[in-house]
Amino acid sequence: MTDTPLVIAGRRFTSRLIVGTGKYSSHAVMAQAHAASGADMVTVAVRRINISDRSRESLLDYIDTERIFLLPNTAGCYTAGEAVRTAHLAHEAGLSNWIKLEVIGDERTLFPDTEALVEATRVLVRDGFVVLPYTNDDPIACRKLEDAGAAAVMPLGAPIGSGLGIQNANNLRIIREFARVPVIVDAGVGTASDAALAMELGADGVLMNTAIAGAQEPVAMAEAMKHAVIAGRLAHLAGRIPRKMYATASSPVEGMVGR
Amino acid sequence: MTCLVAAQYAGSVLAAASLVITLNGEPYELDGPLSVADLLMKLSIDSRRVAVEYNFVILKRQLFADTLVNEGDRIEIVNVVGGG
Repeated sequence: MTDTPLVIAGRRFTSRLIVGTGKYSSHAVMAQAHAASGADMVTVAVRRINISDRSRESLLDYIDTERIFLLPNTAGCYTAGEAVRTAHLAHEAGLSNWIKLEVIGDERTLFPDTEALVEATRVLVRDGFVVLPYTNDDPIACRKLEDAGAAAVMPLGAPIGSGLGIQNANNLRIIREFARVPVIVDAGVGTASDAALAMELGADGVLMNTAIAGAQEPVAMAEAMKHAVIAGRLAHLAGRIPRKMYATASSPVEGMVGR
Repeated sequence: MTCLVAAQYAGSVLAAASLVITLNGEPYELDGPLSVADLLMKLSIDSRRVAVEYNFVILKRQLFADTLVNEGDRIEIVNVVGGG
């Protein structure tokens, strides 16, 4: 069965797995994990440069930007204004006009402030950005973001970095059914089966960072995630059997020896 | 007496020549006014990989050479780091 590629705002991606660049023990491990994941889009953050220590190597030296598309985020922003400012800074730092939009509403849960998120989406779309908002697993919030011009919606599976897996599978299915833009499940993945489930539910892609970077063997986990996303996607396209209460024999009931 | 005069002289030279800006939120002393491009060079920063905010306004790269950093200016220099 041949799959169609993931297309966001007219750009084609070979992989439906999007990975982060944070929390790795070293840039070298990150680069190996990226290669093992097969991802052709990775997220990055924008922060003040370290003035006092200029000896540290740049993250960008470890990302093959010929092959991998950089998606800057607005992580850590708590207002629409901050997020808009960060998006513009990312663009000015030499990145594209794509932005993974985060407007956080609460420090402990890192849940998004959807009201501010919709506002920031509207402003950034007007400013010419391709906006991919990280949002709640809420079909109505996703619809509002889409109406505001989001190029994709990125509902969370569970809180960022929690590794809890998909908490509200039904909502994700409804979001997929409602949305006319790609749905990327962003955050909450803990292990490969979580990523597979997200894809089985119909997600167009999965975005993760901690699940790979925080694993004991990040490179092996990256490879596991690659297979999980492919497997989940294929299972979704293949169409699963309905769930039944009782058994149905797989082998013929006729022709039993000695009966 | 000679010492005191020398100290006063040194102080006045310092006051005339040096200035303090706010660089990424911290006070930062400069010998004198210089362009944003020269400031980046002085800090060993590759200007192609950063964005600069000059007094809360994002500065286009083409203006780095012509924008003078002066006393009290607020400069933010950001780059790409790891994130999710």
